[in-house]
Amino acid sequence: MWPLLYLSLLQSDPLPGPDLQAFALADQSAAAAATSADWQLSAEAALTTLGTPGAKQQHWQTRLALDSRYSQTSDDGSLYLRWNSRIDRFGGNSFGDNSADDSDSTTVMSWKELYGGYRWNDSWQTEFGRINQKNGVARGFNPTDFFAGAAVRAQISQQPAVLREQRLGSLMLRQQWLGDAQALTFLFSPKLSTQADDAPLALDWARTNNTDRWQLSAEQQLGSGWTLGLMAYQAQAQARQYGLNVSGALNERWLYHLEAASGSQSRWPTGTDSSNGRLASGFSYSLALPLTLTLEWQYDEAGLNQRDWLELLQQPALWQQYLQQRQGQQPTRQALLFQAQSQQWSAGFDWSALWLHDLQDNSDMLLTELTWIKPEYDMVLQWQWAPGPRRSHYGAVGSQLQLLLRYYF
Amino acid sequence: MKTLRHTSRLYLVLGLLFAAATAPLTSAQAQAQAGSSSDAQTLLQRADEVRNPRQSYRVTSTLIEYRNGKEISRNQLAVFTRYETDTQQFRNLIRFLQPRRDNGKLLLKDGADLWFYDPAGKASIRISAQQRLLGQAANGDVVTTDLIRDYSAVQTGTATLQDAEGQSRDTVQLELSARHPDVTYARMQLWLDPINGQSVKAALYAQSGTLLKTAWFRHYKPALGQLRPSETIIIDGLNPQLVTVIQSQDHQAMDVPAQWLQRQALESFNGR
Repeated sequence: MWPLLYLSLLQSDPLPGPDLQAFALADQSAAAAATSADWQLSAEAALTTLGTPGAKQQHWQTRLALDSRYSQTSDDGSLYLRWNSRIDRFGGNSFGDNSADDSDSTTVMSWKELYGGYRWNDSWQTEFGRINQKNGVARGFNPTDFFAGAAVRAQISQQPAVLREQRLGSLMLRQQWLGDAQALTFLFSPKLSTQADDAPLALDWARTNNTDRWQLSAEQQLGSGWTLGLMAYQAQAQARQYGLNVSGALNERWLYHLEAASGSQSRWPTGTDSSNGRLASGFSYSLALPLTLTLEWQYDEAGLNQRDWLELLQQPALWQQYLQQRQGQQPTRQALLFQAQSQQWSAGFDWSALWLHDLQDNSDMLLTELTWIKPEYDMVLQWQWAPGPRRSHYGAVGSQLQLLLRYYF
Repeated sequence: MKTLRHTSRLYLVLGLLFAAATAPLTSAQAQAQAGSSSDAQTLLQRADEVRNPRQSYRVTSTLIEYRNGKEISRNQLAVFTRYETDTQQFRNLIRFLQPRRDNGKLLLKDGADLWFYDPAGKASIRISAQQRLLGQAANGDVVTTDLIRDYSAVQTGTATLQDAEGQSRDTVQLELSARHPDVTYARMQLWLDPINGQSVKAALYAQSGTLLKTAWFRHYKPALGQLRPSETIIIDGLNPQLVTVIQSQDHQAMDVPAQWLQRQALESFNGR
């Protein structure tokens, strides 16, 4: 082909050098046969140095993990099976004097999902099993994510996206109807257990199915890049909650999202129910760099305001009790999230940063991550920095530096 | 004040004289332009029809990215396209096949609706058209879209061009201007073969006039009823050492139900 190309150059404008080089590269590019794997297996090894707030010593911790996902569908596409689980082995803490305490070593299995589905036709489908039901369009705080609760068994990061990946699904029966531009979903999740089970391989139903619950949700595409979702959620012996999700593209670069929920919730310290609203709203902007920036305002009326929160911080026992009660929810009333994400920030590198700021006690947490991407594995350097006082929203989390190797089989 | 009024009147007279002198010429130019524009629109439509089959189908796309002559990433995607006959629009759902870390991830593009779904967290996240997911390739480079919907075309000339396979091609050059700001590229130049409607080359520009990318279309092969380009070579305008090769293979006509093409359907999507 190349002699022909050079001959033809004599008759017309010559091609620029970079174009010829690009053609030569494309000539070498062999497309592999299309492959789609049913299994996805990955193994992780992580080394973390932890700075406990208020302590002078640095702790080191190792972690090994195996993550598996499986998806199988019948030939006609009507029957399908999904599996998603992971096992983490946390090594003992070793301290500055190189001593190690093996009694701290723990193994935690997270049976995240196992469910089957039947597609009656293009519109109707029924699913049953342990399903991770995720609601909400917001990036950090999801007021309508009613199934989040305390469903994370192995907390390996403070990043909202990682916490969502780690959590256990709830056993449920889910029925969905899909129209051309709308969807209706009903699900029922029964009570199975109220006894927490910390055994390494336990299914731990108490985390996800400690009460009867149902949810009805509807979503409509409004056209021109906007979507509206409405939902109602009911847990036994609790007030009904209502949710709203709106998101849309303002143009090629700007996005907007609003997620809100309303309904009575228990208020601290009296424990009496009173109506309150929760809201997360924000904008995203994509630059050409490539870099995408997101700013989100988070508001939870049931969280403590500045005066009550600062008072509570002076009473450690009560503070711990309050945090236990608010598990999975915002402890304070208002916070801000700022996120920067860059895929292929530099050749072979992804970079992201997440900054969380509490507007009641002004504590901060910064989570930044640099990922070196190779075809079969990732090398990740994560830095979590929480400089606030030990008794504050984000200061209590502590700082850590983690080096992680993730290999894909 | 008097001076100002006098000056204004002078400008008015000069303006009227200029307008009178140029009016017939402008009208003639407009007529010529209209004729040229109409032909250009027909040519652009033909080029769209050659690149994009007027039916629903599935195709496997392989994106290979090079920097300084070295392969730095390779993605394989299954692209499901639904063609809406009444609106003549394409709706796209992309499933990531390779690399293995991305297996099962989905990208939904339905008009201005763009969603990214990751099965690991079961979260669907709205993304913007400008957000990069596939290295140097914009989302709009991968999905099926008709240029005629977003651009108005004017024929600016003819050129004998070396195509990306070394063949000399007599081409028509079209200048495309975005009809609205919500497009990936503000302006394009397209060189196409008027005999068969095959696109040969495109130059893609930002609003500022900066050349963002040069795209070459080559290896036309039979697919779904006619010859279509099986390879697109994209060269970065700012750094020509960044090259993306998009290879299309295994075109299959298939029904892509409208129900698949919404956020709520992503979790149970079974297409491969």
